[in-house]
Amino acid sequence: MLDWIKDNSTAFAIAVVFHLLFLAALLVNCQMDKPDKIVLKQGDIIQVSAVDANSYDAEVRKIEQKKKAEQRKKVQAKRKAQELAKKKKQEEIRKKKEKQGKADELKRKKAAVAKKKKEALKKAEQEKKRKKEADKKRQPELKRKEQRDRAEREIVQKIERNWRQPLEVPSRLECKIEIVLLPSGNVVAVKVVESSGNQAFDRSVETAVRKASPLPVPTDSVIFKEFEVMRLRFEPGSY
Amino acid sequence: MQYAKLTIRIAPFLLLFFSLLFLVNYVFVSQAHAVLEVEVKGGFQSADPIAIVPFLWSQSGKAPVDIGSIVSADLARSGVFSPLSINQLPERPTLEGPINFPRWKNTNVENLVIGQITAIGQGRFEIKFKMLDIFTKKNSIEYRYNVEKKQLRRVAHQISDQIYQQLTDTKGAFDTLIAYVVVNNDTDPKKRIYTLAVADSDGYAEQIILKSKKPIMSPVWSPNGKRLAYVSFEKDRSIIYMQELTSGKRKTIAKFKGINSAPVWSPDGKRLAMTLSKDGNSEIYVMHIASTVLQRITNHYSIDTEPAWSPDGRSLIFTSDRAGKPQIYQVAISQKGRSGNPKRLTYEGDYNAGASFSPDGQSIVLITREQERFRVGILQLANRQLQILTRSRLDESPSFAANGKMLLYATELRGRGILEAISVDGSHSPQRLRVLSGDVREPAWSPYRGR
Repeated sequence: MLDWIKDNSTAFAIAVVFHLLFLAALLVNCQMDKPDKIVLKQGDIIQVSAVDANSYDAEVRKIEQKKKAEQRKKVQAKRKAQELAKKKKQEEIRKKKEKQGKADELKRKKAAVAKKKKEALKKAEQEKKRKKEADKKRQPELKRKEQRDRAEREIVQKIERNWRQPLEVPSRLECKIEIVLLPSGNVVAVKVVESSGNQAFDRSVETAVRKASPLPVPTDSVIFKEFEVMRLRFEPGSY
Repeated sequence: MQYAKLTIRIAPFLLLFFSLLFLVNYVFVSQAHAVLEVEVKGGFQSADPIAIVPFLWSQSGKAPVDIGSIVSADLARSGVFSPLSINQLPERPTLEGPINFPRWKNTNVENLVIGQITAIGQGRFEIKFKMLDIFTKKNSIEYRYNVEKKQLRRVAHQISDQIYQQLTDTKGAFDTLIAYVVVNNDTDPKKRIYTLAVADSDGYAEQIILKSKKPIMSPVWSPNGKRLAYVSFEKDRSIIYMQELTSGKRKTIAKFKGINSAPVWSPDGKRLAMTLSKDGNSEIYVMHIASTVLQRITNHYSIDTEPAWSPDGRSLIFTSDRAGKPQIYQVAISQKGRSGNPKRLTYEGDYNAGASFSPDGQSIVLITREQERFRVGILQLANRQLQILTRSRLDESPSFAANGKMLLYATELRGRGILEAISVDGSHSPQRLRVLSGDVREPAWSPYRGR
């Protein structure tokens, strides 16, 4: 997976960007709800101003309002009575339902277990499919790995062929260098990262790399990226 | 309040923005920083291929000294370098001129030496040289000398030393001298002439120190390189002399009854160890030069001879046949004389003799008998391992170079004594020094010369 991301970095980056943009859009929509509430409040204010405009028959209104208020009280009383009755009925129904519900739950649970089993089976099958697909996708990846390993091997071999060690040097020396390569394989920079303590030996290592330049780097520009900067640990073999 | 609300509203966007940045960075940066690490083992060891372009001489006639070929021969003799022969050079660049690097890369050479010699009047010469790394195209060393004609050879050896040091990290010992004894080949003993001579480390520029009709033996250098001690039979008996090289002034050191032989300077230059038989048979003594006080070091009925100092001056090694056959022994020495009993160092073979210490004190060189042949061997003191370096029949008087990297010894070629040099690790075949007339014996390699 990580390799896939590395190999398709731009695609992945774009996907991430779109994904996040989508999330961002969702978030913006949530915020839209709040302005709606503000509009409602403004509406109230408009109503108030309308009452003021009709102030000339305020008296008529007051009478009407009184009548309406009386009517409302009556209606409210009726409603309250009805609601009480409704609540009683609902409670009764609820009690009945609870009794039934317990029985249903048992059934439901059994059904759920069966479902889960089915789902697990499905998932396993899906995963198998997925793996097969992944393997198909991985084949070019394997080819890349092969190319990478071959390049690595060839580079080491070419340097070894060019690595002449000085005669009068104590054995058991080790030197680490960092090199920078161009896509052509030309060595543009050599830096000793860990010296062997023997200048002649260090120089032989630097010369070996410069002599071996250009190095057989992979032609694939994506794979080459990995070879752009290399660290090489030199250790004389047995002779 | 408004501002706070705004920030609360923006916060998720900021969060998103940074998380996005992080993700993008992670993907790209992780790719850039995944540095590939590779192991390189193997390679090969060989002499350093180097090119020494003949030094440019643009005046009339021939250059008084061919510096390039002296340098080339020095480096080849060390065994550490394999200089390109002149006809293999792809071009002959000059100090200021351009260099065709691609052509040099094809020669497998790693370093290029370019120089010139110019007569500047009043018998003086200017020598300039530089060395370039063919693969970095950079100058690694650059020097200029202004000398008289008679110093030109020495300048060449100094150039060899500069190159050697730059490329091996070890001080070169080309600008040194060798002392040796030459006997003319006259079959009539009465017409034989013995010569004590000193020459450059390559055998050239010979100077005669002493001529005698009687044998001269065992020349040895003082630690400052200004004097020689030797044994001369000019008065029909062995006498140890000390002679200053520049003035020729001579001083008698030991003319005791019996044998006076094998003088050798202590590292501090204040004492001489020697073999004397004044008290009966050959024993080792130490003489304080200023006071001429003698200290007896050995006391054994067998023969004890050929003393040599350890570099720290605290012990002597010598040859003794106290165990029946000649072997090397070591004895501790203090200012007051012997400070311990001799300990045997060699056990391999039935003949080990003529030993001397390497400058670092880690090993001793000696002559060992192997299948009735006398060869140069090196004994590592740490593990008592003896490595035989030569394949010849009759080697004698091995002597270390001042840097401890090479050995000089006399050997036999068709009945005649010659000088050979070999690197101490035996990594290359012996290099014959210039073949001088006569029978050459008992070479001694000088310490570093003062400049």
